[in-house]
Amino acid sequence: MGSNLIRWMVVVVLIIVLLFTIQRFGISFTWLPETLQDFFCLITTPLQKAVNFVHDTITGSIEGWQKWSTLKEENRRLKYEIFKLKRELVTKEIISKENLRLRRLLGFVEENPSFSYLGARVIGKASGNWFSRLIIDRGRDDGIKTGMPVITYEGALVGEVGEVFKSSAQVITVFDPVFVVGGIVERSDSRTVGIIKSGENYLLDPFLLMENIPWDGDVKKGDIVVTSGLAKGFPKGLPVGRVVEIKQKDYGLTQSATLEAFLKHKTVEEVLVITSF
Amino acid sequence: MKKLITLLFVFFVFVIDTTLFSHWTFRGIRPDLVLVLIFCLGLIRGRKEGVLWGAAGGLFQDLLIGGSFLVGYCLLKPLLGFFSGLFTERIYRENLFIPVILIFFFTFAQEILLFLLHGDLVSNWLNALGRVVFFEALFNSLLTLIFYPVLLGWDNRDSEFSLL
Repeated sequence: MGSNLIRWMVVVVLIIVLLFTIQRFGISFTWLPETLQDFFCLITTPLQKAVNFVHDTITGSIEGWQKWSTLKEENRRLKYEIFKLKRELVTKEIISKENLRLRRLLGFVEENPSFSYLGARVIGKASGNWFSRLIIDRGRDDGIKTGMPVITYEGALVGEVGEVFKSSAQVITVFDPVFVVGGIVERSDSRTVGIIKSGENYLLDPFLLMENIPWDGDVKKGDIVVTSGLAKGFPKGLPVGRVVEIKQKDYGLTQSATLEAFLKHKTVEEVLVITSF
Repeated sequence: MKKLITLLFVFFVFVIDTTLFSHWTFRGIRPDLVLVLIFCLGLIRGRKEGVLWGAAGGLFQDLLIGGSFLVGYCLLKPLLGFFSGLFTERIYRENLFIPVILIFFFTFAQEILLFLLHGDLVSNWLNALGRVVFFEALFNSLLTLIFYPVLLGWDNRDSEFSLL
């Protein structure tokens, strides 16, 4: 029993040493064979799709039922008719929501005809509270590549494609601690630039930080910040957020602006991947 | 056979964690369902299985986050599985109170280790611990109330069959 415990303790110590070696030398995870990740996602993607489908169906039905209940109270006389139409209402509600989303999507596409897009559905979210990464149902087979910008159907920046698997991909959102993009104030008499990254409480609040703004940069509350297009990989003009607070930083040498992101990451269901721009 | 079913169960729980629990949040905070499962398995079946299922569950989580950013769940989870296994012979198995309390501290342990591994993950530790980890730990404790009796029941039933 004693030697057994010692053997286990050695294993634990080795794991700890390995953990801190990785931390010290910053070893990346690229040693993992791509085929292993592909194989894993080949199994997880259909399951995630299925679970999401069941969830969406049940949620949609509950929403529809709640509305039906209200109508029932208001229109007692039409009770029988409502009952007959209940099923139809549920289906219609789902379709109308989708229709609205697609209309907005079409509007954005018409405004930016030079971009090529690929629509994708969000099927999951990576584990843990510290990483804001979505899983979408498009992958290498659909032409998705790492680094492609991802936007909502309204055109707001979601993030960029991270890992790409065979039939799914990971999207690193603007709230993820590793995400960084160049931003510019949209106001025509300002054009101040800065670096946008996740805010301190990126998990709970939809706020981003725009840093490295010159000390004399013209930024005001309410300004809309879009991607600057100066950094590789992102087209110019994708809306990111609205300025809500401005602070002096580095002893007044630079400014930092808090942005309320246009992306509400908890509600995003469908996204557009910009495949070329 | 039991090991294969457990592996499938770990995988199933991982899928639920990445799908349903991205919708079902408490004040915007998600639980770590995989941690809850590994902790319970370690506690019920001992450190060996704690390490084994910790490695499997952690690897699943890392594979999905993956890529250029090593998260280290595949090493953190077996470590926590091992430590939960150390309690196997020290607690009364049917007592639900101790696992619920323990998982609370295990959640803190995992997240603090994660902060140590990735120094730039959060800028304000106290804020992250108070506003995020505390509620995640509460959520995990609540889920342990459901998971632990189910897994214990499964294990007890299997033990009865093996005695026959």
